[in-house]
Amino acid sequence: MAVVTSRALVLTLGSAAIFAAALTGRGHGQATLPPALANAKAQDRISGADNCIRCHKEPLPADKLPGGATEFLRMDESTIWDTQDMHKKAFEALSTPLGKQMGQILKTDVTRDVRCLTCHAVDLMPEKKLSAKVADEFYTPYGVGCEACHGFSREWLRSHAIKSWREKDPAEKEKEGLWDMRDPRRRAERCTSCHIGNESEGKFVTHEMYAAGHPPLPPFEAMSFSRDQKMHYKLSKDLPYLAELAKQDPEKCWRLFHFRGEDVESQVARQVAVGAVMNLRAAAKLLAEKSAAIDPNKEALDLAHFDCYACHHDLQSPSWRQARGYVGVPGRPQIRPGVALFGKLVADHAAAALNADESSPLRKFGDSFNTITSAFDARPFGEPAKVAEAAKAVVAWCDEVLKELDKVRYNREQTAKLMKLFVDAGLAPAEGKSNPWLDSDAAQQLVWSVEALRSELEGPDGPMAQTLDTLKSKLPREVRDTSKTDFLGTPQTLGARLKRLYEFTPEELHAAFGKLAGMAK
Amino acid sequence: LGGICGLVAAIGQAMLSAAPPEVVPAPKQQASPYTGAIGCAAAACHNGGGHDGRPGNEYTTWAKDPHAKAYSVLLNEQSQNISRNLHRSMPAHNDALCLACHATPAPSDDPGAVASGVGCESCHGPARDWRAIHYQPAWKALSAAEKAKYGMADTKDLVARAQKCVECHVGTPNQEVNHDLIAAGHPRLAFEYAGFLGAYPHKHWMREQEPHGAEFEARAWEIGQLVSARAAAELLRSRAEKASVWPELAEYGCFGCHHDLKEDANAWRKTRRFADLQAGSLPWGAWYFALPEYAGLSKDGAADIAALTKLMAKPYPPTNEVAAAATRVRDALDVALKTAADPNRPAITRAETLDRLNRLIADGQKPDEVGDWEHAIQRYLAIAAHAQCLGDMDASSRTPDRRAALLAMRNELAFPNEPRRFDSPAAFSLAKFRQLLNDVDQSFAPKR
Repeated sequence: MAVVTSRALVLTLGSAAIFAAALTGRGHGQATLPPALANAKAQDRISGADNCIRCHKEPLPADKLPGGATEFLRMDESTIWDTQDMHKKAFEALSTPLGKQMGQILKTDVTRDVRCLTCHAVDLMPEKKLSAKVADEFYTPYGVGCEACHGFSREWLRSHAIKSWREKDPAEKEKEGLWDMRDPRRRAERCTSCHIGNESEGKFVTHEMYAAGHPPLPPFEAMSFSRDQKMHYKLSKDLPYLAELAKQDPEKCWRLFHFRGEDVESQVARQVAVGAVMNLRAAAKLLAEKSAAIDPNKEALDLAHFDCYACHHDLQSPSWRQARGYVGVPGRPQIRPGVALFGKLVADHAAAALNADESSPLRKFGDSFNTITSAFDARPFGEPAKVAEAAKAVVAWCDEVLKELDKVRYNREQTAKLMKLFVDAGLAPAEGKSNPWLDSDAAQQLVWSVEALRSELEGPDGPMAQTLDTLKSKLPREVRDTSKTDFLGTPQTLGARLKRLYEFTPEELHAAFGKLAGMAK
Repeated sequence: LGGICGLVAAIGQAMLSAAPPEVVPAPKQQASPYTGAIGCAAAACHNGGGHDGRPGNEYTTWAKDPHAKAYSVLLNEQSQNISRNLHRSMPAHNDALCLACHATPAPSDDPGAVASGVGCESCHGPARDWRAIHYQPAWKALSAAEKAKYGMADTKDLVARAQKCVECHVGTPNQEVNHDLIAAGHPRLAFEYAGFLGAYPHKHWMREQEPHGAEFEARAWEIGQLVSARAAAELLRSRAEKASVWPELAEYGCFGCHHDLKEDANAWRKTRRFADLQAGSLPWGAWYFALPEYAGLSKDGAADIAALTKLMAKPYPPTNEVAAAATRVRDALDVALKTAADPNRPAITRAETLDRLNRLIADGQKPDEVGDWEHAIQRYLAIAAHAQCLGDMDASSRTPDRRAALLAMRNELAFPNEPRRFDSPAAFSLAKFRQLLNDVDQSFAPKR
């Protein structure tokens, strides 16, 4: 068995040295490099997904024995990723008819253009600025492969297969280049670097790219997206090693694995909450960095920062948008409303859960966010200097809030309360009130977030699931149709997604969420 | 409206140097020059109660005209929503921002007169100094320029009339519908003079009273194109110069952005005029600047428009450069307008009308000419005006086929009403438009 042999080899050679801890100056929260790779040539940095599958293809009989590897992980991660995960097709997507069309309009070869490769392949030189990146320094064979999210494995490939590796502090692992994907914050930060954008990593879908045909980035919900790839990991509660550790030494289990035990809190609810704040943080950070670099008398923010559907809708009378009202001055687009709405809801929930007083950052969403709104109201597409300042303040606010979220215990009661806030946000506003945050994107994210929390509360199926399913044709519970294995997007799947968006009106959401509100009491 | 006003004022000054006839008293100076529509409404004067448009029934007819409802719409729910969305501190019907176009200024002793909406004096001029005398024989002997001194506007002059219309229907630096207002719920403005005149419900005058005989439609179209584009260029100049709201999104083709995202949506937006622009940049001047070349704008003027289009496609259009470029476009339009409105201009012949019609159709069939709905409907309106003019010149050219082909095109371009009322061309298809253009072309073929 080739698998056995190769793994045996890895284990034999597994006396890897542990390198001194120092990051390459880019700081936690980016695509970091272990110091040992700092001077390595691009091609020598990556092991490649074909290396990982040698072990992570399927559990061996021994892995399933008591105390075996499957108590800590699945061992078939690569297989799931290989057969189910859209990331595998990220590079291939550039060669589809849509990719070719984009290339024609943008007058570029999208398979060689670094602006595309930063998200559609693995960047081997993440420390280089976008302007200095070259196509040959990307690893493309497996699209967004294992090391795009887990970090380059050269330094830990051998050592991580040894059982004692588990006991290592995540910060130490980060120093060797293994990114801590069990940390909901770190994970969301990595996801959003592409799914929202990251200036210092050169990841940004511009409006020009959208106009050339790039599908609109959907609203991001970290939990739902990883679940529906499908999920190539198990929730901590389903891993006996972690479940046991949480009982024996909850402090250690939290410190090493960000898990407090099923009885103490839901890992899913924490990921939903942290992910929502991280979305806002990523969008605000991108905004701050982009707007700071702008000459306000010559340039404006790229249109891709704004809420796509503020402009992109056929005009109708009567208009549900005009009836709904606006966050700022009508006709002056703001950032995607869902990003702000969810940050606010998670902070509101935490404030109530922690009984926070008025001085708590959790109570200061309005103070923080209103400055962004008024910066965008100051002139169409925003006053760049004001936007930069306001967005920076929002990043700082998010960081404060994230610290507070560590204090919350997302137990069953709090999970239900968080879900209730999400449900209430989808209700028809009271007479004389408006809900300017609600658009098709925000509605979709509401459904995904409620679905994630609902499944924690009532299991895979139940009355709330059935109620959500009444929205299926417009706002599906799943991020993608997981029954299909042909998971490279097609014009048909894109067309269907866009159709759901433009056919959205709030009434159906209000009706379904009205029912959910009754059940969620 | 500096340039054109300047032009008209210069003509007026020369004429005013002659003293008015003594039977007409000199103008008085009072607080408000407006008297209110009610003064026109005597049964023996303009309120005869008879058929639409007949002399003596002007007020009767106007009372059914949408202009008469311009004020009352400010009280409806849509107007209240607009005020609310804009966070205005007063209701729309008290708001000077709205009243600038939704009512005639009231006489000082009758502020309630605004309730008559856009009344007689909005277009015919404030009547304080001529109301009591304009029916006397001596008045009728005055030239239009002499009457202008008393405040009466010359609505028989197509240029002057168009300039009146565009004050509200396109906008001026002091009264404009900008994107904030539109987003709050105000309909966008898309003025086309000949088309608006043709569709004007309850006209309070007769076709026979229009100037230029059978040439009227072609002239009205030409003048409308130039005056409207001119007003739009001037409005842009002032917007760029003030830059109080900038970039001003109402400057751009509405449906460049306002379309549902569909996977094939980009298939119909690339044309000659916008070809050089970066994908996803905003299309400036889609409505007013699609066709002025056919109305006599010079090649240089067209190049100025192309340059302005490029400037306005920048993410933050440079205000100084835009103001300068808009001034160049405005001035080029003034030159064209001067030629078009030259009183010594020879008659427009049937051959010329047909030639322009043929060009409008043939160019429209070129693959990179028409790319969006705004251009398509401007071209339809131009074709319809010239077809009408040909019919006026030669009644035998009015055939059922031609009428059917034009109606089919109009119906195709109309905004869909199902399943909801759309205010955008949600179903517009360029392929369908080209096919209908071909049908129109065929309908002319035997007669050409």
